[in-house]
Amino acid sequence: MAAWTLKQQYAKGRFDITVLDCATEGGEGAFSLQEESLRILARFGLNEKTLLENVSGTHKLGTTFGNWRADGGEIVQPLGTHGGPMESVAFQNFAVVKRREHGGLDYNDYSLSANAAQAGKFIHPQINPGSILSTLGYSLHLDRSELRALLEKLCREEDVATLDSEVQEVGLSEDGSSVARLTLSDGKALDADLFIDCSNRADSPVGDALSVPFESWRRYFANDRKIAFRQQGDGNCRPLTEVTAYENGLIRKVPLETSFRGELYYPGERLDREHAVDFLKSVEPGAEIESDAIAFESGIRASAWVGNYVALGKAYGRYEPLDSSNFHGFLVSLERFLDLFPRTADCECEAREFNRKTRLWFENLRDHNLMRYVSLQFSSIEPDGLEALPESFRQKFRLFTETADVAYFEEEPFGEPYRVSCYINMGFWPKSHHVLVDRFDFGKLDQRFEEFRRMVDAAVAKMPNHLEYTRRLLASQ
Amino acid sequence: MIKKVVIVGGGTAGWMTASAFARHLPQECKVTLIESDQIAKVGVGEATIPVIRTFNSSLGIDEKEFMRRTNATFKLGIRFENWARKGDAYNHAFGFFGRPVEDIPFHHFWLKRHGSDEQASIFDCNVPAVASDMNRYAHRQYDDQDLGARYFYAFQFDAHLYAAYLSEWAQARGVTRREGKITEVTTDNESGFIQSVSLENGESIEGDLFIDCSGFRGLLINQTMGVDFLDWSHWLPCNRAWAVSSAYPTNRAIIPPYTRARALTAGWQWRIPLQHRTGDGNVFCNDFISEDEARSQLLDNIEGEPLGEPRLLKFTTGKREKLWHKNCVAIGLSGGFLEPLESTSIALIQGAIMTLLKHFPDGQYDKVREDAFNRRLQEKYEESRNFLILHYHATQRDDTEFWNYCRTMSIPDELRHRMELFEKTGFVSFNKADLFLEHNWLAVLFGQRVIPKAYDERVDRFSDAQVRDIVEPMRAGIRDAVSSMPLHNQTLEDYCAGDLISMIEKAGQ
Repeated sequence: MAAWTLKQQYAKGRFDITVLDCATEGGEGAFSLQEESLRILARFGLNEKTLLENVSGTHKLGTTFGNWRADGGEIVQPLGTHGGPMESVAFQNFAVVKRREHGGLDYNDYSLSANAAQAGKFIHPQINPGSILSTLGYSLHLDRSELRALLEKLCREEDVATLDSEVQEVGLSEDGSSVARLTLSDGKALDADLFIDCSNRADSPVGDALSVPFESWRRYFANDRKIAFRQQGDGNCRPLTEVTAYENGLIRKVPLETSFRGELYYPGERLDREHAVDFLKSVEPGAEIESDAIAFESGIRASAWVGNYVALGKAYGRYEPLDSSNFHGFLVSLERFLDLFPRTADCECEAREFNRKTRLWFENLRDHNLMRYVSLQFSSIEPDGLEALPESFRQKFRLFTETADVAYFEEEPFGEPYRVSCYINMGFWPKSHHVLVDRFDFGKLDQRFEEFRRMVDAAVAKMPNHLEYTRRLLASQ
Repeated sequence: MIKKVVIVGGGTAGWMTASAFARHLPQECKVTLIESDQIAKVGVGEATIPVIRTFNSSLGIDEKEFMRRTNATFKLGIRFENWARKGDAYNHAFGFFGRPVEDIPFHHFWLKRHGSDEQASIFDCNVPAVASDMNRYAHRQYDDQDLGARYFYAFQFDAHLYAAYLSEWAQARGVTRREGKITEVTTDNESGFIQSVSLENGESIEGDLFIDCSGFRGLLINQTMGVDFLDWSHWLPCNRAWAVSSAYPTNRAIIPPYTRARALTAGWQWRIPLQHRTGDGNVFCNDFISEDEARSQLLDNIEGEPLGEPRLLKFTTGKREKLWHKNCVAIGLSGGFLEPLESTSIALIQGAIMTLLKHFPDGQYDKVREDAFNRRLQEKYEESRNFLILHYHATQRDDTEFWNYCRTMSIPDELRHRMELFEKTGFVSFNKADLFLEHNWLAVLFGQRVIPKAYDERVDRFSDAQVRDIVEPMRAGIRDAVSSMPLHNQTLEDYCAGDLISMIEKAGQ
């Protein structure tokens, strides 16, 4: 992706690019994208049409979290927004009041994406803010190997060279501040002005050679092994990524048209590979194992850009893809890097900006995942025992649960409505609401909520099945 | 639940707060504002930035009526004269530079075509900057699809009239006004919370929440609660201002749709055009010029006759360590002061009010609301401060000790980083929640002659001819669009004339 994007975004002949096709972590499986991922991909020249014409994929309306909360059941975490605009106050504030008045409320009743997803339906959103369809949010599930094949083809057309080898040795500059060359396992030496690490490995030998420290988040996130698998589908999948929690880990499944691609994440100290595979097969009948147990550790490098070396995505930071942020994290990093692309060898200033924003983004993501773990029934983190967690997380968590307001932090990976619905769907209803809501005519509140719900039901009833819609869309193109 | 709110001080900050509370708080919450006719109002901010419109519309204020009542004019930006070099002028206007092409900001295309060519101006590719130069203003809402409507507007108004207008508005909606000077503030011995304030006549007014709008002295936040002040005068050394109103030189005077900020020897002079007069002032540092000299400088530089004697204001730039402490919230000058170079005073008042409403205490005063409010306001003040420092520091002037100090002083790390990054790459680092966004930074950076050494290389995928066809039609299209706009005077007369000078002329005909 980085090679294609550099070729596509810059003048012809600007770069000689060599892709070192070394063993990266997990080339299998499928990507589950965020809404924002589609904008970035389109900016890089890969719009939805191109993607769906060349890569097996399905539309996505959200993620389910199964077996997550102690009260059981499946929680749909939709994309898009909940409710409609009411006065100038965010919808959740009204939902807090209504829930209190009625002794309960299902927040997702007011999400078109959630209801459409559960009915297995899909249609593209509309821009017109007056339409209920403008509240729909969507993205894509894409077959990872097919996307890779598409990018390889595009890169070949752009004369990108490929080397199938491994890094044997990293040669540094005299002062040790940048990479001079890579010596490969076949003895070849690879010189370059710039080295971009897309290896998906936080233990990348280049990062280690540059002595970039790793900041572990293991104390927050225990899972440190991953096994990839595939599973036959029944051709009737929903437009939802599935995340299911178990006492010893979690399983994430991404639906493609006729199959699922998935991973089991688990703590190696509690489960060896053999038992992990047995467990996986017991809960996912028919699962075909696609990878060995891959070790990883949640956390980030101290810096993503050092000298002439830039680590993108998982080569910089590792975390569990609870909200489908892995590939998205890579795309965000790549887009940011291109905005700051080094003009000269002296790029300390650009690196400072890139590192600052990248760290913020990953720390915000860590906080988001912590919120999910606080609600997890198997978690050792209790909502009233947050003192050991990062200060930024505590500020966000307390502000929302006390006031229904979402704290503003720079470089949040998710928009406000999404973060709000994540909190509420995880069971963290705020204790109070925006003071402006108290001026609202509560007599009209039930009516407004009921109207919105009727609009959601009517819209879902008219939507086509999501797989049929995608097939028709491709046929018409 | 908070049932009694007491606002101390009735200037712009006090009445803006009272109005917002009258509009948005539950009716059971009683709001009392205490002001004294014996205490002179500073009358902060006659010029504003576009966010003021959000505030007015949230109250449901009729724009025409408000403009008539406050003798307001439209504002498209600020014209900075003599800042980077003597003789320089540029407009920091409320609009974008060109349009992005394939997600690459326009200024990179301009940089490729013109580089540091002093004859070419990127400001020709900014609608409100060109309209300001031509004193034209069409009253339109922003429309990204229409080249001639890609701008935002704010107002220049008489702050005393605005406060009086809001006073009437708020009292009509239930706010109680009490006249009198506060002689005593009573706090709870254990909690330190303010319980009541006493007036000269012996009346005691109790409250659950106290808003300090008492001005520079900070009667509650400082004198009662003892919250310290963060002094930023080493970065923004100006500490005095002479202010005076002046008449337009003739009844045919052009009313510009912009505020003027003209750099002088040890500070700068503002000129804010209202419908019937101008507001003028000289902001200066008394370490570099005497008060008398600064006064003479002001009077020498105004264009019409002064309407009264200049008033001297003394201030220290900075802010309270926190604006919310226990049950006291400082809004306006009691919370902090930044000189009016970028018209941030009213915007910061508005920011504090809206943030307070968002985190309004429920009576329990949990720390989480106070912390969230203080954190957000600290960011807003620091960001505005850095933006102001940019104007002083990015100068080539070496003609006075004052400018030598500003040019060579150390600046906050964050600002140094932003300047360095822009100079090196043309990339503007900004926070999406900032008061000042990419186009604001671009205007001041370019205007202060901080010209990037490089542009975004992605522009090189466009041929020179393509780049020309992106830049030149933009310049021509904007010129044409602005040429068809009416003069600002005309728009005022048609839309909202109060004491408009051209109306006076008509009456005399």
